[in-house]
Amino acid sequence: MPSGEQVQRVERERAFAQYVVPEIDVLLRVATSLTGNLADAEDLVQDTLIRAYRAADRFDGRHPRAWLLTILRNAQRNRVRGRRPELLRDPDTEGHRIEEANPSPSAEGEALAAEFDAVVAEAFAKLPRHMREVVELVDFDGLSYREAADALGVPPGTVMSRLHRARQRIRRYLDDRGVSHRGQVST
Amino acid sequence: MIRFRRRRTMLTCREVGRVLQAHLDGEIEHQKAQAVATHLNGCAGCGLEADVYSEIKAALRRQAGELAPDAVERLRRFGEHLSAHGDDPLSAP
Repeated sequence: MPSGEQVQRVERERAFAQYVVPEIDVLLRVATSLTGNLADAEDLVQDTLIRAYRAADRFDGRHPRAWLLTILRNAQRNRVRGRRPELLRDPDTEGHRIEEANPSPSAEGEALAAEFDAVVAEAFAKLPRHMREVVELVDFDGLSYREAADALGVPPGTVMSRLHRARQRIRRYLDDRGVSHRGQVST
Repeated sequence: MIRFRRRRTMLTCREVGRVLQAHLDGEIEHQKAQAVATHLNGCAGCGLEADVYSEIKAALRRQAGELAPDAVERLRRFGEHLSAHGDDPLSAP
């Protein structure tokens, strides 16, 4: 007869394998968006995995991604609180990651398409941090509004309004530079 | 998922403009999405607007880059170790 502790351990391992491991890719993407660099993102996902492992036997199996994103958000908050202020992200100097990133060339490799992408990247880098966060979570990482809300700890309506205003700003930035449409380029 | 009170299917440009981005994100309910799609097919102005936002979304997605495969692999191994040995710090990999 297995002990209660053994049963708990088996259940924890089963839930961890079923609900947590398949989400590691998503967690790393979101953590990279929230921390701004891969090293911190990996540490944050490790913290999240440990917390999820400890709680896995009590998880009810509903909406595992939302559950994990909430754990990740709480882990991130604790990490940020524990840092010295000068080590916190500086919203005024962020956005350079996008320039360091390695954007894939457009399918047709034509100059207009490349220019469109470059101007979108410029416009993105100029967004305030709270707007960049939601763009990264939804457009970069592919989260739903609800999932992004869970990751940030804000209502879904806030995610929606920030995201829509962010894209409107990008659109105006494109218009101001006469790069309003990529459609001329065949894809 | 956004819900709407009214059930009529013909939408004005203003109504479509309000939900266009949510529509492109797949965040509105099926019936409303169909009504928006119908409007976009028949309205050049709104159709162009949808194209622009679709292209912005696609351009943003291209900025994301790929996940570092070695980082994913390290985290998977970390997860396997957790499963096999628990979270005892003395057994850290």
